[in-house]
Amino acid sequence: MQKVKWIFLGYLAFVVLVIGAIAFAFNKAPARDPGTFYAAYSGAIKSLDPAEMEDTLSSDTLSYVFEGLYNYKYNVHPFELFPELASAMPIMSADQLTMTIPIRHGIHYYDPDKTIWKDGVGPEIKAEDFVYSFKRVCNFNTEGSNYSFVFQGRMVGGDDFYEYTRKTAPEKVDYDRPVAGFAVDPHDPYQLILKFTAPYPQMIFNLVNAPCAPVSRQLVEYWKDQFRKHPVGTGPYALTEHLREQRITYVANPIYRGRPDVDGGTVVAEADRLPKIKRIQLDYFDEALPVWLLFRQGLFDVNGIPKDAFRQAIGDQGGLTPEMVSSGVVLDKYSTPDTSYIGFNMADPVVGKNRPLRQAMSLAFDRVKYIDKFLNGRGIPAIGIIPPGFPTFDPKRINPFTQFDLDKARALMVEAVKINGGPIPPVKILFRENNTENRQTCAFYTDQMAQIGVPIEAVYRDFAQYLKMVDDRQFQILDGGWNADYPDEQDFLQLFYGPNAAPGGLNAIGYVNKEFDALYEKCIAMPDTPQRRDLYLQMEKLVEEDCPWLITYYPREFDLRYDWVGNRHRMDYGHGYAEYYTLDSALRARRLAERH
Amino acid sequence: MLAYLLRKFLLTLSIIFGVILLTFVLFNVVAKDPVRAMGGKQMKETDRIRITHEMGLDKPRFALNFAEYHETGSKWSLLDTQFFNILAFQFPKSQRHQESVWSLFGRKAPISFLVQAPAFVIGLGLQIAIAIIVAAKRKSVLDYSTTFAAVLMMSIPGLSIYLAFQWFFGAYLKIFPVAGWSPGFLLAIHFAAMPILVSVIANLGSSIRFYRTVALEEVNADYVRTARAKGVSQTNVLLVHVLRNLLIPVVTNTIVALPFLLTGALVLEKMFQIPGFGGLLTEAIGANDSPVIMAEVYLTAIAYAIMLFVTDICYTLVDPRVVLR
Repeated sequence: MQKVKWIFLGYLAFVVLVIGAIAFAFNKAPARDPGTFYAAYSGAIKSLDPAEMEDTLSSDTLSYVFEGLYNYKYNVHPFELFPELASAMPIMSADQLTMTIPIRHGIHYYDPDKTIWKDGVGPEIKAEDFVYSFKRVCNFNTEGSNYSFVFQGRMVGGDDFYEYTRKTAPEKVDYDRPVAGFAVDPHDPYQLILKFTAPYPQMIFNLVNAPCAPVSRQLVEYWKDQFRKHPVGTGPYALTEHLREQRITYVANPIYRGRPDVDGGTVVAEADRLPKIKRIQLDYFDEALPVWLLFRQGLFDVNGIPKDAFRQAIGDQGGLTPEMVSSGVVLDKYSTPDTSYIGFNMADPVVGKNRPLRQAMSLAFDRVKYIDKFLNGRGIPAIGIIPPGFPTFDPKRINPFTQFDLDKARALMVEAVKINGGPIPPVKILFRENNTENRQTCAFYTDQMAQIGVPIEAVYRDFAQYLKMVDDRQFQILDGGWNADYPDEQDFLQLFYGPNAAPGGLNAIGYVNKEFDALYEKCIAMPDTPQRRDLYLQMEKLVEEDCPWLITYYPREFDLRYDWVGNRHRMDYGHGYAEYYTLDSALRARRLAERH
Repeated sequence: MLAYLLRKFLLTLSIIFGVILLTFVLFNVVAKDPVRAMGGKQMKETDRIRITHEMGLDKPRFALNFAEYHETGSKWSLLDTQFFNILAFQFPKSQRHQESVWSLFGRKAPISFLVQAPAFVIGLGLQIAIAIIVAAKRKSVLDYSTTFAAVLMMSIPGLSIYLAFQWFFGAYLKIFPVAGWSPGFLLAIHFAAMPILVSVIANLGSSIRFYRTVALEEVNADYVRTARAKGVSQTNVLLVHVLRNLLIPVVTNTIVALPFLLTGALVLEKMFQIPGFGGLLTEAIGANDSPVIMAEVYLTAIAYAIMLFVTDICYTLVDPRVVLR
């Protein structure tokens, strides 16, 4: 009988021991390095293999380590490309079907794990590395959808290689099998030749991105499936630690050439050498509020502003609060190349066939009020489908259908009701998820459209069902947005091109306009010239009149950083810009000491 | 007893099989096109083929795989169907993490255990000790104040407690880190200390109330009155007699809670940024990552069924009056 008593007392003693052990171990705090740039990230990284990269987070993670043939000049607007691993801009043949790219000399891979190369210094990059890397993207067994986005249907022999890999066991794929679309100049191992099935001037933008970065064949064959955990590139940083959903650490690449626009071995003055910050640590956080608290403590150097903490950071006048200013926080505001919209299903008998109805709904939507209520003012009322940052964007332009004008809207509704043959029935808006934000947004839309007699109903579906309904065009209107992949208006205009209206295609709303399609086909192969910009403007005007989108706003981002972080500018395209940031460690140490 | 164990074992097996079968059928009925969800907005046919293959959905669901058999000639390939693979715990890899489900679980479960186990051990000891003490001092100031505190803790949502601790002890007093994690045992404890503390406090209220209620029944029983009349000290009455009879509900609650030491706590791990098991299921549901959802449902069902089985056996150890026939 006493046994139970002693077991329980023993258990309590064990509890005291556990508490004591925790208290003892608790004093061991992780060291903070004065030369390290600290920031947070969120989201799951699927793979660190450039061929498999297909999400923004993986791309950002890889951008420290890998380089591309081209990149965008840092903090230069409008965006301007420069040759990074290429030594010059590409030379296009007269028929626009062949692209010849010279490769820089003297650039080597660096492997921080020193797996197979002495001191981690790998072989020199040549054109064959790109040929191998592009073939990996075209391999059926490679994860990710980069093949379909970058190369499918565009490269001579590319689709045949894909079919070959589909029928071949993964371990038996022969990467020496020739593909006419990816070739090395037989007279110059530093000359890459790409052959297209049809003119595709936007390929140069793809050559900036991670899927087109070179990888070492030796290391891929060594690591096999595990290569996706061991990224090795030529970039300014090397990834030395990746604890999944915990931490990512980069250190400066010791053999980096010092600047991205020079050959290897070029002497670069110490003051100009990059990267400026020698170590970067990114800690994984899924929730915004703990990150905010840590940023306020000065333990992260940069951060966004969580919605719930907006008023702690931003005052009534739209600038930082005095407390933020006195802490040394700097606010950076950016426009992003995004357009948010409500899309109308052009095949729908109610909204698709009734242009005055769509125009009326666009005129009845108060964009300024929406931005104020839902975005804390972090947005610009949309004018057209092309957002700021593009050459054809004119902030002073007036789009007659994006002005808030209830009288004009009501006048158009008279026509809309006639076309419909009676009052407009409830219009259903499809949302991706049934959450608080979407319900509040729907309530706003309902109030707005009630002013012109258009009832709105919400349809909430999970992601899979949402996609299915969009593919099958089983919706009337949907809440959407498009983020530019490259600085060419074509990226937005393709969303209205008729042949892209297939199920799962880019033209999700099924907009078809023969005049628009003809203009699109005319300009798709044109280089960037004033004539092409004129065509773009004409296409934009056609779309605006037809109103297949109720264009709502262009987002604006508010980023915070401490004043000990310098030369940090937002770049919407390209990779690897952390090499330009500066860190005043002494200032940071002083400020943190004052707080504690 | 052996007959009982055998019967119970066979029953447990059939329950597990039933859960697996039901969940598999529901997945195929409800999640009609998981490939589409994984393919993203602009999924092309080539992506559909690849994802279908990766998710193992190009295999037959239940029926024997004659196509594979004709190709390979191997009799085992006949059973290479979706359902049999699940029965053999061969889940397709997680589409969201691009990692095998086992690797994912193996990575996350120990982290959850590192937080949940100390919280469980400390919490259980405190709950029982406090419950017995206040039950013995019923209607005293201690009893009333403890009951008030317990009800208060039950009333406050766990998330509020987490946020309050993060702000007060983390951001304001700077005693604990606000959130985060670090590899290495000692560094992990540094970050786990506050989550363990808040987990103990958040669960204290309801458990003290429950154990107090059970203890009160025992404290007022005839055998306790007899023991006191015989001159047994209050300590021995509580720890020798009352505690012994308290063990049945303790065993029930404790053993059934053991599998959840590995599965973690969703909100706790999210708020304190612990890369454990807790949020995995919710994230998988949000991301339509069906291999992870299926694997977690199956394993949780199996663990729960096994623990119920173990609970029955433990009853015989705790209470000699219980005989399993």
